[in-house]
Amino acid sequence: MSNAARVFRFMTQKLLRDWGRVAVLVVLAVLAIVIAVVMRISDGGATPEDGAGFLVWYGLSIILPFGSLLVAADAFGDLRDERTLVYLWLRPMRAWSATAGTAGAALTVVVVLLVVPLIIAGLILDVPMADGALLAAVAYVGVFLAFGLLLSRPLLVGLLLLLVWENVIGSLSAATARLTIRSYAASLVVEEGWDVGTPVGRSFVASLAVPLAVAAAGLLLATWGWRRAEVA
Amino acid sequence: MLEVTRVSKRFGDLVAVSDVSFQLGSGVTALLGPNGAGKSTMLRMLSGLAAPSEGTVRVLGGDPRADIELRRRIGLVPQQESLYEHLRVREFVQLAAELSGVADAAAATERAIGTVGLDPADKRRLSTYSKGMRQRAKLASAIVTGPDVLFLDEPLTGLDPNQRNLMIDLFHRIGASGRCVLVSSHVLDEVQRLGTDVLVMGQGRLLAEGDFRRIRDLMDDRPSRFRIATDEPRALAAGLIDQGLAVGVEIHEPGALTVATVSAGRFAAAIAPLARDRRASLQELRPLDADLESVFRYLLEGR
Repeated sequence: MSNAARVFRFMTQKLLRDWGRVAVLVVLAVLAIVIAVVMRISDGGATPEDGAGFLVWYGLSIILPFGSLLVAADAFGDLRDERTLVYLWLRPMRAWSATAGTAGAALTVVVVLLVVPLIIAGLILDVPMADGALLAAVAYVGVFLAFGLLLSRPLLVGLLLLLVWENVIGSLSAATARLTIRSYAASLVVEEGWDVGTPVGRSFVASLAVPLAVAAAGLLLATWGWRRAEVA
Repeated sequence: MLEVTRVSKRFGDLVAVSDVSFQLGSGVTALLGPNGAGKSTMLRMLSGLAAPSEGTVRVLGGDPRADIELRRRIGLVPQQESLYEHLRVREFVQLAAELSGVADAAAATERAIGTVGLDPADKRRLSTYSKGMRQRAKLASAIVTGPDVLFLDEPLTGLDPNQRNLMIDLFHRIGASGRCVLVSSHVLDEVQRLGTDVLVMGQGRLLAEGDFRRIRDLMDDRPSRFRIATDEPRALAAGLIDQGLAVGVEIHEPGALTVATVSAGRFAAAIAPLARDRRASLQELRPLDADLESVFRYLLEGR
């Protein structure tokens, strides 16, 4: 087993042991499914456009980014706060083993707890959520993982990023929307001509490439941060 | 094995370590100083966890911060109590062994846990462990790789007297096997039992290094104090003053006097002939301030 795999196993266990966080994410995810069912069985049933509007708003704008923040920023952030990063950092392993293993663990938790329920909600509402939700999760996990290593208050900064950048600036115009992860993820969910309250219209290639590039940049930053970290 | 050259560490305006240089070989050395002296920062730099602001740190000939492979040969018991609370002791120690590439990590884990007196089969999670058990779990994690250099930051905190004895014996065994063991503490009694080699830090500076008894001898600007039990304290006191061997004499109990001298060597050579001349029997001659506490107090407080 490689060191990245060992870190993955350790971090996955650690993230899943935080019962409070897991419970919050499960409730939010189950709520998406419940609302999808209610929309589906309500009078006349929701159209796919209505369903996409709900899932882009609730799924891609709220629970996925904020849930990814809670998981990914705390992956390293918790170890720093608890002053237990030392036990990993002292080991003779490459920085990328630590960051890739941790990114994999955070992504796995986000996928299991949030992406899969959103895909299920999408199936109920005839909205193809898989690609968009998965790519958004990859991008957010990459960014927030780096926050957890590089910033002293990763949750606060992440929260500001999501509220100000992703939601306010991203909603100002089609041009500023290009700067948000959400618009690329939503473009994979929404069909042409649908109005879901979020600027979309990114090309398929851009919708794939930009979140992956953001995730790669986040992972590189985290790896750089691991090497430079002053560990308490 | 360790070479620290003009190392300083600043955190903004705060100078945690200032212009410290020393070299250490194998054996046990105590890093002594009050809280806030810079001991933990020094150990963090030695183990590569923090980069010096100035100066160089070499451990086993390499840079512990840049050389990842070197970390395999360095063990650290950090000061903080926190552990991976969701793990059992075996999982915690084995994680360290596996990430360090230890051959047969399971067997090494069992040995390390047994060495510190814990039970490798203990099913309880670390979150249930007492302070002393946590210290031992950290130590097991540090020694599981068989490091050539072992840094221990206040490792005896929270241990009961029996456990302390066991740990101190273990440090001596590791040191005697040709490895370098540097143990920080602010408790003088602990340090005295760790041996005689000390590094004394205060306010970020290295105040003294070496055998603390030699350090005491070098403090020739400060009188050494001796207690002499004799049947003729007044006669002996007068003789010491006459011969210029004492800068101060106190007789505060019948049959004993306390002497302060700035030339301990001359005093020791002259006291027996002087007693014979003055027809005084010497019943006891005992240094009062050759212990570590006196050295420490003097270095830190100048008294």
